[in-house]
Amino acid sequence: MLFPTLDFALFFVIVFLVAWELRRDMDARKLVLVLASYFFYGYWDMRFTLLLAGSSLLNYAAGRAIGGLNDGVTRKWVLGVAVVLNLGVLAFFKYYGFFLGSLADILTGLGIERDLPFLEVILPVGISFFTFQGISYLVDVYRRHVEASRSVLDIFLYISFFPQLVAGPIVRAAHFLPQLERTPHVNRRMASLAVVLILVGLFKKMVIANYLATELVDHVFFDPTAFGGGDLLLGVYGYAVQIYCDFSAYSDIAIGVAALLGYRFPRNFDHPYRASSLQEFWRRWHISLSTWLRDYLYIPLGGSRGSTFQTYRNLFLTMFLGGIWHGAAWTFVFWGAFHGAMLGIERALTRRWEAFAGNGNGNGYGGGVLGALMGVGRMIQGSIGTLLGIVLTFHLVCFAWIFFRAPTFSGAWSYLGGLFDWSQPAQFASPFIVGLIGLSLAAQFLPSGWAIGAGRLLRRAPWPTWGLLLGFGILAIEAMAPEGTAPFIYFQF
Amino acid sequence: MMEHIDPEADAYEPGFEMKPKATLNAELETTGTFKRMFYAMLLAAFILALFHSAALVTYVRGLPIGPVEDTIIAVSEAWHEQMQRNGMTGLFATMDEQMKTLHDATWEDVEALRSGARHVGEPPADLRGGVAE
Repeated sequence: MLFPTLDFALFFVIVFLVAWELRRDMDARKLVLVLASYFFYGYWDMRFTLLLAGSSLLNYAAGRAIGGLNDGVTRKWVLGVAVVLNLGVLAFFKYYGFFLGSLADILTGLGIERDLPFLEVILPVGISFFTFQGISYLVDVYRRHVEASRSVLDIFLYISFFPQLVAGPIVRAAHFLPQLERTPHVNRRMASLAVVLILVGLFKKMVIANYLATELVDHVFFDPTAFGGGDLLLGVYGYAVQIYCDFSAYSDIAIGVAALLGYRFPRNFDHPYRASSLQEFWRRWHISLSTWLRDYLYIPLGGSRGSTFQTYRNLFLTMFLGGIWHGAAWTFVFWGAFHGAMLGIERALTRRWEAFAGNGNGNGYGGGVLGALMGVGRMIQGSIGTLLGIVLTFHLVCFAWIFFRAPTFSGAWSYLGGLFDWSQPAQFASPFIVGLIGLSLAAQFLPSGWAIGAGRLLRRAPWPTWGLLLGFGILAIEAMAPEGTAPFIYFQF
Repeated sequence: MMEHIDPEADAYEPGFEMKPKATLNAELETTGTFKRMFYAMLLAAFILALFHSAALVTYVRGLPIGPVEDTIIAVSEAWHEQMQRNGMTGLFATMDEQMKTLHDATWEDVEALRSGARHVGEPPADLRGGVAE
């Protein structure tokens, strides 16, 4: 079931009504939300709900076991086995075909012919997201950040809660489980912000992402050799905007829908294309995954506490595995490795620059006119540096997006090669497409809290204003959007 | 806290009066917000049914075949025809048309718009400082 459909609207209105009617009976409310979540998930394929239930049961049992043990070694073993089981399920569904295909290629390269047990494995929607949530719960219990839940219903709801089930944000157990223990509560602030987020999310997905996908990105990535450098350059900028609008739209709607049911989700995006460094980009892009990788992978690997080599190794491994998390393809492997390598290079260069700048500052420019002039000079230098940093970071990210979007590795190289061929005129550079990309990128420089500000304006408004805004807002979005509704990009992960 | 409670009135369920004021306020706020949001959703649905009844027909035509579904389809089509007769669907058609114009605009149109804007910025000579005859 997709968010921008009438099916979902009807489903949500029923869930909203029943959930709030049952607000004084918390167990009944949770049960309804679990059933609704399984209905939502089963809309794709009913068989997948068994996997979801199995994952929830595994994590509930493992959590109880870890929580009930005092012996450190045994706790670690139980955690290890449960994490391996979680990752095993993920690996089977997501990487089985990839590993076998790669093995077949290697064997063929060596001249060995073998019949490998290839299977038609269908990837369950959102498996990477709910697996990571399960692992998050187990590690949080192990670290004693949360108590092992006694309620199987709580764990079922935490793993399957429909707003974030298929494409995040990846909600932490320590953040969500305590909310299930309190009486659900919604106020005007949450509801008005939800209205803003849902409308903005629908606009980003249905208008911007859908137009860019159908009228630019799908064409240029399908056959890059048929287009010139101008179209390919526009195509990669278009994809950068499309994937942001698509993915952040899902997060916006998920946060809004959860808020209307009385739950708070963390922010998942914060204007990522205005980042002036890759490190900053990862603090603004898919924040729930970045922080998950930091807390459950980078820090357990040793983080930046070891030697310089270990720090760079940990950084690289974290991003590399983050790339593989996205999918079983060499393009994702390269995407993750590229980000890992570039983060390492950026870190090394920043360290050197800071050491150099630190020495420069030690010259003792004091106060007075000279000091003021030096201050202004540094400010201008800083502004130019930030601007250059934004442009450079954006282009590095775009370079990596080519590998992320291309169907094959050779397709990505062919796309890159085509970027240097400017013999053909740009046929996709219409004012509409250029304007859509330009305005979307300009919107990255809006204040961070603009949605909260808009929600604040709406908070005091009477309910007819909310209704008019919702009704005419959706009507305008429907009129502006192209025909049809494409699935969200991150459903495939 | 007690100013909200009248035990003699027997208007509250047992134990309710023991709740802290903050909890009572939160419950009132939740009930109020839920009602506001529900009414807003109803109004939004009504607006969409009025101005975008074509989507309703498209949706119900996708329903499985059956006596109830056939009735729903017939009612939806009748509603859509009525909305068309009343001119309610015109707003959506106008917005759709405007979007198509924007979508199909060429760089020549943009240039013409820019030069038009420049032209508008400069009033005709016969209107400067006097009354046109």
